[in-house]
Amino acid sequence: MIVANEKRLGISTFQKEILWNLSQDVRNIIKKISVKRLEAAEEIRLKTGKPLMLYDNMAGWFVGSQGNLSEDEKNAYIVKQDDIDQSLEIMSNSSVYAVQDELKNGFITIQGGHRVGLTGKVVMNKERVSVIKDISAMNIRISKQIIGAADDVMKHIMRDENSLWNTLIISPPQCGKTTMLRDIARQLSYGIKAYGFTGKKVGIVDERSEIAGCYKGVPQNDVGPRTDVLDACPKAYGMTMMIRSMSPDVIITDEIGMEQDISALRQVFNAGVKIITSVHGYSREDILSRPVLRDLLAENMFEKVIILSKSRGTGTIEEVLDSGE
Amino acid sequence: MGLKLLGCVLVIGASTMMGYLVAEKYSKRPAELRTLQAALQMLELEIAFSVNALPEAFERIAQSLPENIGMLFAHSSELLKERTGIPAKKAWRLALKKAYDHLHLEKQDREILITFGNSLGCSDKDNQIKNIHLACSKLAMEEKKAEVLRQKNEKMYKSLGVLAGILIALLFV
Repeated sequence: MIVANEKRLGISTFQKEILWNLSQDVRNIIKKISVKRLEAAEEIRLKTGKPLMLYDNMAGWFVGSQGNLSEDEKNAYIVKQDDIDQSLEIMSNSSVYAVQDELKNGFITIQGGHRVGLTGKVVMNKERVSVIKDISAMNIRISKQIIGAADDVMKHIMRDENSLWNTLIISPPQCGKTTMLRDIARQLSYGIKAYGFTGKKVGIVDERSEIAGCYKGVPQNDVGPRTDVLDACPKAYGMTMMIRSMSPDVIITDEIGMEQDISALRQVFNAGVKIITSVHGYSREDILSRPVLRDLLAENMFEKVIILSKSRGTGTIEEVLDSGE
Repeated sequence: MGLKLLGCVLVIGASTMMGYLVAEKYSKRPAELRTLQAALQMLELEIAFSVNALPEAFERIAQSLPENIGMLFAHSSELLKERTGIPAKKAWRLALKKAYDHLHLEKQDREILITFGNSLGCSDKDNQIKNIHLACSKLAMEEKKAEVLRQKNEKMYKSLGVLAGILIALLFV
């Protein structure tokens, strides 16, 4: 169970990174919520004309205008369009052009590596999203690095003191695979004294800015001293770029699944660089039923396949499959 | 007699200074319009290549400008950094209001800057750059006109000041 080691976001960090990105009215309400509740918060949701909501690891709460949390929406503060507009102005530093590429993906990353998801009207241009306008809802997902999230999994990944297995992590959504990858990166990069494992050069290709949580190119999470991050780079390009530019020992990337990802993975294997990656799924059979991924498993490129679930808390290791030995 | 002489000197001095002050308006305006264009070109680089957000871009631009025009950018930057959620357009307008008294601009110049500010920050890169180009070309046109006015008026007001001073002095004597 990971929750026990969770590195909580201190209240001063919360204020600097989250509070100051909200509109003044919402900011004043959130300020009134007790520190304990805020530190446990996972999401803050704003939706025009709907109650302000705060999610923690237990449930979603309606937030009243005095900062009181309740399951009853009656006394909740109703979010105004102005709240969303102002928050967006602040988050983007009043410079839409600086976040335009992120906006196309439906989220922006703010200082601290927190992700703000946005919805509104999508404007298309030649079959591609050109911009989201009239944004009417935002979800501020508070990112918390969990130091030690990968403690249980490291022994499966390490081959000996100096090398590791190509590993695929299969996980349903919300089971902590990104958190785990982040901690794997950190541990591989620092090295693990208990096992006599020496630190490795790690290359993270962070297409969705989730693993390292980069803000202005600088990782906001501790991903270790030997880790290089290509932020917001499509995985297929990023993996080959990384091999050429930074000579990593291991490449870490999240949520593979497209055809071009797979061919990039083959290049990584052929270059003799180790790979640790994850994929959405519930079991090995589930992956085998998907044509693109099936080939990958059939080729036995991954020596270890780790399956996660939520059965004993977020990040439970359900099963470890070995094909390398 | 001594007192009269002193009076004459004072009158001529004051009148000359007034002439120079009026002339200054004509002589400084083209220079300021030029600096503004240079500043907007810097902003274009900040947006197109560095992709810096406005508060940061403005701060950097302000540092390389003379104080009066730099103030326009510095103050906008400060307002945006306060994180009150005001749009760039509003911050720019407030800064312009503050800086305007220190500048020698005409009403039409201010209109150009206000129109420019209205699209500030709120669109994608290409449109931001178009907006900058548009403002720059308008400012260049005003600069040309201002230059003609300067050549016509600067010398005239300077000599007018001196001559009017002498005239008044003579009338008093």
